[in-house]
Amino acid sequence: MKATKWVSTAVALTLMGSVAIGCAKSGETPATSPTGDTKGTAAPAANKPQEIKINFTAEPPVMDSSKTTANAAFTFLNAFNEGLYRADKDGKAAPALAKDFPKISTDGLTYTIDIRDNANWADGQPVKAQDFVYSFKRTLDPATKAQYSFLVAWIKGGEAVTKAKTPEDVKKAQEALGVKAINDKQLEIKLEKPVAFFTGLLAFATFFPQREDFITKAGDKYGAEVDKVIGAGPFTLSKWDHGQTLELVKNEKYWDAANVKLTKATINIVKDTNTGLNLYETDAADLAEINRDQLKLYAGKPDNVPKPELTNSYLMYQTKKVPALANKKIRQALGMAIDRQAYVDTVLANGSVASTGLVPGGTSDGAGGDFRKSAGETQPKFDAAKAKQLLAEGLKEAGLAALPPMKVNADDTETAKKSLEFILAQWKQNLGYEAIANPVPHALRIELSSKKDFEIALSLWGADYNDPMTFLDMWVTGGEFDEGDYSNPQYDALIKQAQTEVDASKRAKALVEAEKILMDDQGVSPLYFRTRAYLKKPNVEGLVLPSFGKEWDLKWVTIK
Amino acid sequence: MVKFILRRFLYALITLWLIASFTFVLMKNLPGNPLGEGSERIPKATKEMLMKQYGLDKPLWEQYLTFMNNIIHGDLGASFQFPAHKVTDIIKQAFPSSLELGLISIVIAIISGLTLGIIAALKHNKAGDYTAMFIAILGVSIPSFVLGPLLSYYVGVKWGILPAGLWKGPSYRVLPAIALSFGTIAILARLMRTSMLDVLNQDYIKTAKSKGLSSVTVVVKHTIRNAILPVITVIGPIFVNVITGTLVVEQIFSVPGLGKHFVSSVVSNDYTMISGLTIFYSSILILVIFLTDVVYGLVDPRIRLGKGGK
Repeated sequence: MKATKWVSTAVALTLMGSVAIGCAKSGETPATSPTGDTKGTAAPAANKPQEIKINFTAEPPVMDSSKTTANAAFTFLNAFNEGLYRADKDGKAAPALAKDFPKISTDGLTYTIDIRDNANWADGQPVKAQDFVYSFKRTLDPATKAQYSFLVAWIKGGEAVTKAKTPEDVKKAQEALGVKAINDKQLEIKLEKPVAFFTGLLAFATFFPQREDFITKAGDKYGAEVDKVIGAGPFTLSKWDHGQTLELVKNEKYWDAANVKLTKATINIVKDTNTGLNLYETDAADLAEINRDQLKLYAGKPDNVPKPELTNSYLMYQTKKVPALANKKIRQALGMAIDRQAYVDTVLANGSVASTGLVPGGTSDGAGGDFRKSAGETQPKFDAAKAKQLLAEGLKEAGLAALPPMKVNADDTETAKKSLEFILAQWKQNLGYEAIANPVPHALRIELSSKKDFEIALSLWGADYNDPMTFLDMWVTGGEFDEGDYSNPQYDALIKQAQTEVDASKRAKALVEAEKILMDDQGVSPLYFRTRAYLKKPNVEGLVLPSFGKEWDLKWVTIK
Repeated sequence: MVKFILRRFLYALITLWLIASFTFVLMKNLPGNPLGEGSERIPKATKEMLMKQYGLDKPLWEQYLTFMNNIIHGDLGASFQFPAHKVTDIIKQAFPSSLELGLISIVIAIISGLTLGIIAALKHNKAGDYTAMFIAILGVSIPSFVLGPLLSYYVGVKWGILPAGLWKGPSYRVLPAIALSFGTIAILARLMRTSMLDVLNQDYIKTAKSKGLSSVTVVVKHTIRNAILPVITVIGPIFVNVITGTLVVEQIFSVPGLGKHFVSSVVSNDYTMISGLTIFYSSILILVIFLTDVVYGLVDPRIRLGKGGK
């Protein structure tokens, strides 16, 4: 008996010892600083280290401004590189590597831009106009496989480069491209047709400069490893442990280095929002994105910072294949029967705003104003009684006794499924109509929509650039993204006018009119403008959460 | 024996080929395209051009032959999600973390599981037995996706003893390793207990005791030694299971392992990554099974002489 006790004790001690060794070897002091935080030993506020730790949900696939389409990569590109213009704290384009705003010809087609004398790459080499010419040509080259090349293709002759079949044809088309370096510090860009928001577009990462010598040397690995990226932005990428951590440090050679206070940012890849919240709670993170349920814990606290986005959610109707949906009154009824305020309050509860039109709040009107304010409320208001009446009239017009049971496609995410449930319940309650929920994986929903193989689909669209056109030109007759086959000649005419109009205010007016038509027709039924919820330590100031294109901008951050 | 090994090796290769082919068929049936995030806004012409460049416009049989040819040459291709990275490079980068976590947790599981099993058997039907088995039942009943967040919240956030997540130093390994090992501890404890009780009832133990051997010698030399053999045979497959089944724990504790690539590659139709990971994990499993077969064959000639084994 004694011996068995001895054996048990010995084994138990071995076990405890091994765990203890495991902990002691760590070289950490977990009891006092489990996360490596400097709390407790921090210098006084005035000398607070200008460092920040951020939770980030995704690994940037490749940090090559030609190839990437992911927000994760755009966010980092914006930190270690820069364009001729940079979105400022209010999201407006401000001169960055460019000395000033462009000189635009009266026909709106030619842009002449001077580059700052003190604009340097992180290795000290000056930024030259040729770096932009090279970048644009590289993005357009089909061999680069750049998915966002269509944006650069607005430059004169751009489309011809993307469509060139052989390397010789590519070279020939590139030579004819409407972009040239007048000298080292002056760039000229010629457009195919006027693009009212082109200056703002130049702040988008796809238009960032690239260094030919660096890319040639890096080869296939360009943008994939820490030593295979270079930029001319406020920070440099100093560490990239794949799937784990990225680090940015201040770039002393940046033209505006005097205004960059942050010396270091550590970005940890944390996919799970619960883990993210735990890290935030233990001061292992100063910034974390949270979900709806977690937001409730922080209601009214200063940590809670909403990130309104230029992203909308809407119902799309297949008007050609489904005769009932070709009827305007039926679409109006379906749109009007949904109480959007109740939807954002109960289903989303994350600060998202009930839609009042198609274009999300915060979108510029292209003439110095806010589109939503200029357009006002274009979307018909929730009105259950009127919706019922419209449905009856619509059915009569369409020669139907009742609405056929239609499938509503949506993603199979938690939020999308709850949304489906809400929408279907509203239709049942307010119209007495029972539709069929059809949640499918995201990729399948996209595929079905692009093949126009759906009846009704719940969709999301985020801005590529801050202009109403990114939301409105999708719905022109025969448009590539007009998956519902919506068609209205008046609408088409207004969009066409806006696409060629040089006068900004006339253009803005045309776009407002177009939205009114689309909303009256209920070509699509918008639901909400998305807001995401973040937690930020109150001592972090100057952090910008842009409404599109990237997750955050650290240029103006200070730690108090 | 050589024939036996060769035959087993051939079986292993056929199994791998079947898995690779089956994976190819399944992934080709996934809806959507592999062009990744934002692909819905790519103009049709660009999309078609990209599909052509990736060889996805070719007939299926041609894609299959290219796929098999690449595998034979050890080329798993470049990931669609991470276009500048080869799948083999991603595996090389991420697998060490999964392996390390798996190894630590299996060590914890072996030490704790065997200890609990031994205590339970030696204290049969007493408090020690009940306590050990209670822990074992907990281990079986509480899945890692429940235990992980609990450990992260209580140990990491509430008590501040260990990091709640991330993968920076040795102290960051403790919680995920415990979360991952809990289920295995339970399996090993129960197995060890049963095996020990079985051995304790054998005549040779009674003989050893009657010969006047000390209890320590009886337990260590005769009981544990004999009881541990059946337990060891299950450790191989359990080990593979632990290093491949870390997805949930990796996600909860932000471990930069391979687990997350499994899900993200399927969600984003990253064909090369899906096939690469499946082949990689299958190879490990097949290798372990192959080695086990060989060892069994060496230990027990009856297995070698099975059907067609001469």
